[in-house]
Amino acid sequence: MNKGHLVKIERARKNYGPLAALDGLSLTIEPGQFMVLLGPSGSGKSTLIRSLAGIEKIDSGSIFLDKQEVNRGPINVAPEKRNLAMVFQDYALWPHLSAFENVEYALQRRKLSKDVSRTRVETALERVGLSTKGKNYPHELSGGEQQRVALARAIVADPALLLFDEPLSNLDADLRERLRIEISTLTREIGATALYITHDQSEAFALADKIGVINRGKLEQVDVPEEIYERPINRFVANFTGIAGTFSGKVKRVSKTSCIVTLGEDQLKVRHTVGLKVGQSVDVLIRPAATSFKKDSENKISSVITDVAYRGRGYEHAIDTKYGSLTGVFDNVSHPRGGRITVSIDPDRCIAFPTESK
Amino acid sequence: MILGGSVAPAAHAADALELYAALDYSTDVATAFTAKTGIPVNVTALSTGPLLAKITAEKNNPQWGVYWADGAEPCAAFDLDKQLLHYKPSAHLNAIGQKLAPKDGAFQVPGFTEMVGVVYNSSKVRKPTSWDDLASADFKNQVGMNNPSISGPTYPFLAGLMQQFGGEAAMKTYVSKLKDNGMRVFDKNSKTLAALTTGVINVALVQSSAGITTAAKYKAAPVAGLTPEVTYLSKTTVLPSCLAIDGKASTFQQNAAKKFADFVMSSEAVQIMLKSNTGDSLFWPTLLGSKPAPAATRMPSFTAGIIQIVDPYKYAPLQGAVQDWFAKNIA
Amino acid sequence: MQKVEPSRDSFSSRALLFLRTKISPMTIFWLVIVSILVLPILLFLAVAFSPKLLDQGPEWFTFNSFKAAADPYFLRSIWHSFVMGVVSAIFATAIALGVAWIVLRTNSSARKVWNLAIFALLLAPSYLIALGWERIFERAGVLNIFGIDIPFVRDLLYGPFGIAMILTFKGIPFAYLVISNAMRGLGEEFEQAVRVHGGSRLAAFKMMSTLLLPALWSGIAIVFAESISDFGVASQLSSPGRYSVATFTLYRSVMSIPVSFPLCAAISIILLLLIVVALLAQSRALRGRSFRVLSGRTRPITRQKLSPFGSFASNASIYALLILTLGVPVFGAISASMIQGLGTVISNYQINFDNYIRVIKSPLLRSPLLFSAEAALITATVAVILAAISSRMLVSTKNGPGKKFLDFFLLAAVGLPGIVFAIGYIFAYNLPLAQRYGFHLYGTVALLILAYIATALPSTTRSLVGNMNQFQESLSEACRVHGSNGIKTWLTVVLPLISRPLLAAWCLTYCGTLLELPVSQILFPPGHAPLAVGIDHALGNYDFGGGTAMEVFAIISALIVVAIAFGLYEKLAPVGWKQLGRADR
Repeated sequence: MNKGHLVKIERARKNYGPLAALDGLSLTIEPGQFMVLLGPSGSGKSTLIRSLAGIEKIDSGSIFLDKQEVNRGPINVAPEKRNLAMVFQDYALWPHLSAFENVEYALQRRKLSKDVSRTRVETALERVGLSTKGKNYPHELSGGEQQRVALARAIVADPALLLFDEPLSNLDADLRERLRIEISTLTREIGATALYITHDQSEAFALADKIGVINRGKLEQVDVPEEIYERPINRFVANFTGIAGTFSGKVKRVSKTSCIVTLGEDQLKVRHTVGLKVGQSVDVLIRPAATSFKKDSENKISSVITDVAYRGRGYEHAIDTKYGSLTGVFDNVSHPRGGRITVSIDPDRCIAFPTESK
Repeated sequence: MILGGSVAPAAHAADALELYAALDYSTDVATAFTAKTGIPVNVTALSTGPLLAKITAEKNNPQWGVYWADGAEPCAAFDLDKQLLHYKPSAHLNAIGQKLAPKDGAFQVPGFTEMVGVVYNSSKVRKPTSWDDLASADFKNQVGMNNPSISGPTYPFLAGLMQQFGGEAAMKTYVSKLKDNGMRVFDKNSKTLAALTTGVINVALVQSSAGITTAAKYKAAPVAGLTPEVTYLSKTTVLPSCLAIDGKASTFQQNAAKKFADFVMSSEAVQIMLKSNTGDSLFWPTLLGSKPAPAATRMPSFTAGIIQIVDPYKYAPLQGAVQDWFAKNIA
Repeated sequence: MQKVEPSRDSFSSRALLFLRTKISPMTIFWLVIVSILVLPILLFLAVAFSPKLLDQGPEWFTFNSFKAAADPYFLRSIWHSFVMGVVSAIFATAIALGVAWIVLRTNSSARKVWNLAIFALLLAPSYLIALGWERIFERAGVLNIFGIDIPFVRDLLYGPFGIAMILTFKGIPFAYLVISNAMRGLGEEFEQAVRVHGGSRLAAFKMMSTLLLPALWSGIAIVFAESISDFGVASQLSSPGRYSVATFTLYRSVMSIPVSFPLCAAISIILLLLIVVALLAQSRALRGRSFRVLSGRTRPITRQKLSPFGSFASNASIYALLILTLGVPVFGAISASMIQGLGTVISNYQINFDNYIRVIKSPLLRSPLLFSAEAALITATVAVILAAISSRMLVSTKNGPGKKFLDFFLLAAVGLPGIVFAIGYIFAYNLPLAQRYGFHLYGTVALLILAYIATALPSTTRSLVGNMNQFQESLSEACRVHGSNGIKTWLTVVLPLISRPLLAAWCLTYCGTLLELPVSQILFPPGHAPLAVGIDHALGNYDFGGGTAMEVFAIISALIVVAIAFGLYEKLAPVGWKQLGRADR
């Protein structure tokens, strides 16, 4: 049911004074695709999504929805003409309208009869589990409920493009996961193209068909989640997609995809994605999934346990080694704080990058 | 009501005479004029200050046809600026009228009042006998006068003092003496008289018509402790009410204005003005053979030498500087 | 009703046709602002430099007017105005903040009285407030009758202390409206966050005040500008020999014969510079911070329950304030309109309603009242719409030139006394050019109403700025991305969310226009005397009893209109509109 927009952004540029929020960014989102833009605050992802929505203007470049050019430099097609919908970080529910009225408002552009309209609003509210809360005003709803109303409002008119501006960042952890699933399923049900921005990498990986990692107005890497995780194109992407810790050392031996790195008394076998030279100073970025207390590994380093956290399905440990600290070391049993233990590091799950010159 | 007025002015300037007047009976006179001649009149009724402000602001595109207010100095100023249409109605004037109206018809003088009528509360103070008397200990902190910058009729009073005492400096000396004796200044006639009736002052130097009105009012409805009476000191200056025609107005306006001037200088109009039951009605007409309102008859005779006439052309150019001095030193 | 002559059409009707095909709402807005606000002000100020431009002097370009204005006498009065403005602004805002807190955040029983009284306070002309105080303290005033003569207080009254006091009283309602609107939209969570982190009540109050900074600054700016431009108090209590303020000097120079508009314009420019200072101070204080706190997540407030002492203290404060600010002018008005011979012997005064009866029967009152009521209705409605748009523009984060431009002109218009504004209108609309091109606006009721709107726009705009500042942008963005265009967004979301402040602004404008004098005096078309002109005629006719009775009548009629407006709102407005920022009962 691919009725979503094809989104094409070409060399978009936007400056706020001397600061470049968007730096010649180009991106294509296929119809019906769920694209997540992952990046830190200030990276430009908000600017991009707002420009796509039409509520902000770019300085130069173009944006196309299907074949229609909706942004050319600062010339804009008005937001209400783009057949899209948006879920905001602060919910943006209109305080003077009830939940029902909030959702109904978004349907007015379809110019349906009152009965059809009512049915669709009720269906939308039911889909987000709020069929009994139609008469409530926003201040009478919890944060999670408000965001669900916002979600219902976004999907009720079957838009061709759904925009999500960090919608989960204001919610509690358990709500976040539940709502994430609703967002994921509902969006795919209606077949809209989706652009979702977040700084939370686990959210991004869980939701996306494709992830674009954005930094200082530029796209560092656009790919499926697995590729981003397994083969980050550069250090920034690797860092931003979940690192347990970083060790610094020198390259001892290099082969096509892996290398040996000397760290003081120990050495690690690690992967690399960019070319490296023997003797080069490198930083080894270690994924959380690379670490364990198993005894059978090529890479072993002694460590001291500094913290234990119970996670329900097991325990996560924070450890200190001679070369730095690591977090998220998982085990089914807990190891006491202060205890000495050897940590194993999976060579496939750590990547070496050249040390950045200061 | 409003919407009808917003499409166009009440009557387009091409069709009606624009009368800018600071005299309360002007509306009655205008109505009678229209009834008689069929020429409609738009009356803009304001006190002298705002009226002149409006005229000055409209200078690059004047709207007025006739200006009619107390005080000859503004008209003299207009004339010195070559703004007026000179016109002599055929009416005959009495002795004072002949002295007041410019010979070349720069403006007309249908009547006059006096500046000032000295209104004193006889329950509280005795009758003042001379200008110097007002500056004496008996009248310490008792006297009030108008502010010439705001009250149109008041500068002529100062002009009269200048003439009587022999120049600007002498007038300033005298007024300063009054100030040192505790004299207070109020915006205009109504405020000065209000101060009298509430006992803030006991002697008010106001326009004669205003003074006579107040005295008459409290005679009719007596209040214990408040018995205003009017007297005139030597010399008292004549305050002409003047009617001037805009020399830059359209032909229609000027023709209508001349007819209006003729009408005003007629006994019919004089009767309307006298009977209009407003404070301004208490004036002395200049039309030969007319009598003033009964309440106004107690006027010192011209021949007794108590009354004087000042030349507006002489004193108009000094007005700005005198008012400036007054504002900074006296008010 | 005359038809416009067909021969005199070409330019203006062709222009209209072009405009209709090419126009966006914002363009119309700017056109309106320029023609009613910018043009008259600019032309008036221009004659300071170029008297010959409007036939006000021989020079095409000169600084002579400034030399004349640099006279120590004028400069002193301007300095006095500045001091009065600052003092009254600060005190009025501080008092208003305290009152707003008591009325909106506590269960003080005095709050209902205050809500009623606030409008009466807004209506009371400042000269009447001054008059009331005079009646008490003047020689042969009320106190004197009881044998009490306090010359020291009397001297205070007629000097800077008295002037500042009354300007403060007059300013409190303006500041209160701005602050209370902002406070209503402020959720309690910020104060609660202080309390749970160990802060005292006072600390929580300070936090709340900080969050209200835009509104506080708005209040200060409005009161400052209003005080600087106030004429009523100045005319009653100030005088050149005592403590002169700029408005009195300005008014005097406009009314003096011969009048010098170039000098007035020069003085006005200097006054405006003072206001620019106020504006700069305001923007500096608010730079960079976010005060956007009104959103769907804002919950209604729970009122604080006061201790018995707290209850007593807050009620007493409010009532004392009301007596000082309202009780006194009311006494002044009533005494002036009903009691005769107050200054003489007490046993002889007659309280009667003669004046009021006279006034009902007189056509001199009825038609001006009706005329002014109609004019005020139209003015209030249009001004409020324009003010909503302007205030939105003033708070937008996009710092375009349009915003700075608007900010300056709105503040300039408050700072310029009505009388010079009116003169500017004559300059702008009596241009021979205008008439040749078919713009026959001068001398019409329409022009008078436009001038009223322009006079009302600045204060009304600033009173809405506090609310607009709290209005979260995402709410209107959500409208746009869900299919509503700009106008629909305004009608369905922006206006409803500020419906109560809009209503308050409407009432304020209605009342202010009803009794407006200086613009009415200069611009009213013959035969359509507004109320204030009618009253002025009566007062000028030495009938101050009748004149004041007319005034009391007018104020009562205005209060009735306000009561009806609020009543209709309570009855007809949707539930969702009314519950915004409302405390739990």
